[in-house]
Amino acid sequence: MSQDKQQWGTRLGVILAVSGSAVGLGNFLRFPGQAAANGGGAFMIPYFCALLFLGIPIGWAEWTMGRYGGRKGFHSAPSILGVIGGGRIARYLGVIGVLIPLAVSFYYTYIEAWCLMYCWEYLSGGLGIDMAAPIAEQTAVASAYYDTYTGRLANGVLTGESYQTLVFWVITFSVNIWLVFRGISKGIEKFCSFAMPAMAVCAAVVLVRVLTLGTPDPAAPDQNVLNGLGYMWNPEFEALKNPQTWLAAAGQIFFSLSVGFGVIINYASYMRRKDDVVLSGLTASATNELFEVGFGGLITLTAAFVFLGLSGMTAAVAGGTFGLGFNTLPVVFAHMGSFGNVIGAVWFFMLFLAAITSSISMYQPSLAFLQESLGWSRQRATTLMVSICVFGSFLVMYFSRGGIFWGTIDDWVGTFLIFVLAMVEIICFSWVFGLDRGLKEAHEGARIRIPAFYRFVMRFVAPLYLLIVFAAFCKQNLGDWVQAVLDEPLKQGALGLVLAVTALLVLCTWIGEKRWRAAGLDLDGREEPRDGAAAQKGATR
Amino acid sequence: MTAAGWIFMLCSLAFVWGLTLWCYRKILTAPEPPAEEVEHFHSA
Repeated sequence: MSQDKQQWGTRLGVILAVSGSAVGLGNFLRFPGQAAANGGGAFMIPYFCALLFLGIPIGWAEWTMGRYGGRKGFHSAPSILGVIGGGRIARYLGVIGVLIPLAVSFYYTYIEAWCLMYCWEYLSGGLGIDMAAPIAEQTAVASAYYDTYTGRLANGVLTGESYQTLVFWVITFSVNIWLVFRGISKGIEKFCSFAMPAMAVCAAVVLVRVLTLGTPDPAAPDQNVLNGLGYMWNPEFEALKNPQTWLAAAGQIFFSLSVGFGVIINYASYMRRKDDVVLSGLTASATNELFEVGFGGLITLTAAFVFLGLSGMTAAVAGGTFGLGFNTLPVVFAHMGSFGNVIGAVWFFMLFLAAITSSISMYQPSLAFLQESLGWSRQRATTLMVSICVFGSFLVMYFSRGGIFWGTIDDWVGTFLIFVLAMVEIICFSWVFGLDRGLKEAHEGARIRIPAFYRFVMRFVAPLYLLIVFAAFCKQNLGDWVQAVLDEPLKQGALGLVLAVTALLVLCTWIGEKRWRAAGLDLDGREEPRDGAAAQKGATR
Repeated sequence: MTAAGWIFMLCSLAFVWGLTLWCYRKILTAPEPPAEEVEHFHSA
């Protein structure tokens, strides 16, 4: 019998790894756009409500369930939810917790490769934006670069002139796999311990530059830093009466914190019994908020406003996350003069770090799942996982037109299924496992206590809040999404890929279930965990 | 930037910076728990 012992090296290590998983492109690009479009400063009221009543409590539940499952020797969402949820239904629903990170990784490393490619371009002299040309032409140059090198114009980014995208993807993917293969402590933890502080330094450098821009164009005195901050932060209280604002805030918190993603439950399973999950969960959430509000809320829109003005901002915000990041900001950097290339390189390197600390967290749950369900060595499981990922990413890169293929995976897996998994998790924790038992487990080794009012929040408020947001989300999007799938073959292909991967994961769960039962493991969570080597040896007899 | 804009921005920044610093102070001043020997099941 082969054993694979994995554990976090330090308490700080797991926090930085989970924070790294949460901090991504959305913190710097999606959050400011959402805030500006939904009431500016007033957006922060529903935003912080969602953080306190949705993000943090579901996060605590995930951390606690993960560590509990780890004490029984399990490390993946299907096996851990089987233990917490007391049986097969929860176990098979837990497959979503492996599917989400795996399927999202198909396109996430592709986007991550763009960040590295842009960083390289800035180090090599920039995108060639002509400062003398009108702003519209400058934006067109940035858009043309983006469209060409991300394959948006036609399928086949692998075969066209944008072959360099493939080169950067190979580099990005190889680094990811190498880090994950090195293991929890030597790979993921060590890298995040370097990458998170480096990301903070990069963000601070860009922030200082942006806040000291002053009024770069004397002919346009309104385009200054203070008005840029005002664009993002001036509150419009009327927006609070619009349910869309509350929905957008809850969605932003939800996706930003990586709850319901299947990563926290996996990462927490490598914690020791006496490791603190309450303070760790809160610290990881706080770190994510620091990057999102403290950096993302000050940098992106302020810089864009100073150079593009109010009229340019409307188009920039309407362009969404990728329009803002890859079309608008290159124009902004070009306006910073010779120093702009340095700031551009630092900015895209920071985005690359934000992306890679997230993407490595997407591979680990799949790897752990394949190992424990099939009983394979780390090397063999890595080979299978890499094969699946290369196949999935190849399809994403080949069918690159308009980002339709990967956008469909993002909609159905990276958005819709996250709601479903979070709902399964909070119901399993608060209602099936039992809130008293769950909080007792959470407080094991905890430096701080979960405030008493969170009993009510975790049992009633969070599930209800989630249900309302999910229902509103479905009402708003689901009809259009289904119609779009029926109309577009590329979308059908993307969902076919997702279904094929789901079938494979369900099969692995079925095999694992038989193996775990034959080995006498408590896969339905009928006994309290017995910690220590002796207990584990007993369980693996 | 209006006065209300300043208030919202400064309160939001104070909240996230305050919470983060408080959490890291707690984490860094706590003693590490003793190492445990663990063996995890993967294959039979």
